[in-house]
Amino acid sequence: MNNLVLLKKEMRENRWKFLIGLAIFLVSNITLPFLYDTIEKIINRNAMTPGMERFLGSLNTFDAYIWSQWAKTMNQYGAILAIVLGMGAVSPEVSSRTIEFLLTKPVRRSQVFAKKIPGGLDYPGSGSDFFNAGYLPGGNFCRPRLYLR
Amino acid sequence: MTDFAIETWGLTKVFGQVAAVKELDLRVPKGSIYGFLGPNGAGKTTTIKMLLGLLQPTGGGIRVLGLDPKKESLEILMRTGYVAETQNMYGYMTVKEIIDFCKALYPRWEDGTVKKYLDLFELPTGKKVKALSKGMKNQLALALALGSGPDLLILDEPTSGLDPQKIKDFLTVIVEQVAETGQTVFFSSHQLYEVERIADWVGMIVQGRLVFSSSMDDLKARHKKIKVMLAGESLPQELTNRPEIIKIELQGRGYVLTVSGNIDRIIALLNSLNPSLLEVFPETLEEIFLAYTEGVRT
Repeated sequence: MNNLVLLKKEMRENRWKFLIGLAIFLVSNITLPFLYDTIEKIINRNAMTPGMERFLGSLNTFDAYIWSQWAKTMNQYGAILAIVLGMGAVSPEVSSRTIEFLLTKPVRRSQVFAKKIPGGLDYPGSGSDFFNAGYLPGGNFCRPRLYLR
Repeated sequence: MTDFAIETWGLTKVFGQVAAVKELDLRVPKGSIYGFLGPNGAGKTTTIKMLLGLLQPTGGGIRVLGLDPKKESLEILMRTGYVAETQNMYGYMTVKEIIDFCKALYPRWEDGTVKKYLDLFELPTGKKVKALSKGMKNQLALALALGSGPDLLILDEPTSGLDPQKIKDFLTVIVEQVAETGQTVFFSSHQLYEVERIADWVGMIVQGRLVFSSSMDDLKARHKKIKVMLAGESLPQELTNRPEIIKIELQGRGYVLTVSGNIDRIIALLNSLNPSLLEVFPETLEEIFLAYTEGVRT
């Protein structure tokens, strides 16, 4: 019961972080399939640039391209978002002194801080995971229709 | 089985170079309303935070409800209701939501008690906590503390900033609740009127040290004011140095002595000086408090 009520509180307090994380991933991932042709053209135009052949490999198929870009987005944006948005997981409770209210209730400190992890750190990332899980098949589905070659 | 709800021995807390609490030996009898007095910065809140396990003592020991806050803080918090000086509850929650939040954390939650006090204080359950007045927040905090079905209620300056009517309502609730349930109440305050009104035990801390701790009746019996007038003489040093004399004031041509402990001995010493006037008066809690905080003055 303790865990559930604490998790619910964290989710409620961090709903804006979730929405910001979701919006960033949404914009980033929606543009992925539409940029396939443009990126391919850019890379082909600069094919003589040393090391560029490695990028050409990822453009062999649309599937390879979208999965590699998805992984890149998750790693780069996800890590930055988790750090930036997760920084405020504990400090607002301390500055507003609500932590005192919470810690004078029968809850373990470890429980309080453990619930901050999904709430503050992984929440943007985990929200985006759900989004991406649905998005990728969608991207594969819409690509052939929009960009038939 | 201990007879004390709270027991500390040699309790000390040092912040950097400053000792906020020094060698505190406190005993709060079960079922009592214990007023913990002290001027601002005396160490009252630090002591309370150590009792609740929010701060770790630098030295000494604590037992709350027979339990060690270091090892059994969860059990202590389950059986203790706490009202802080300033209420730092989640402002975005409504009154009902914060009640539900607390209810989920306590195994012995009493819905009936909370409803009783919500009705008594006329607290609107749909209103957000941040929209409540200071008085209403304090009343809500008290309702939440009592709703947890505590064996011990710890209140840190609970009526600070409230108007006289709200203070009266607040104190009435505490007295009635204790009469009904036999809970122990430990409350810190520097509002001497309220302590005198409801406390049956009282302790006082000054600069981190406990200067007295006793039942209210015993405290008043042990503290007297003696007005003495001597024929053109000042008080001899052997008298002013006596530990029983905690304050000396010059009043007109005479002296007013605040005496604690062996009052008969001091009266005998004064009588040996052939005073032209010697009168003994009872002391109010405020006078006792001021005598300890202001110290001996001649």
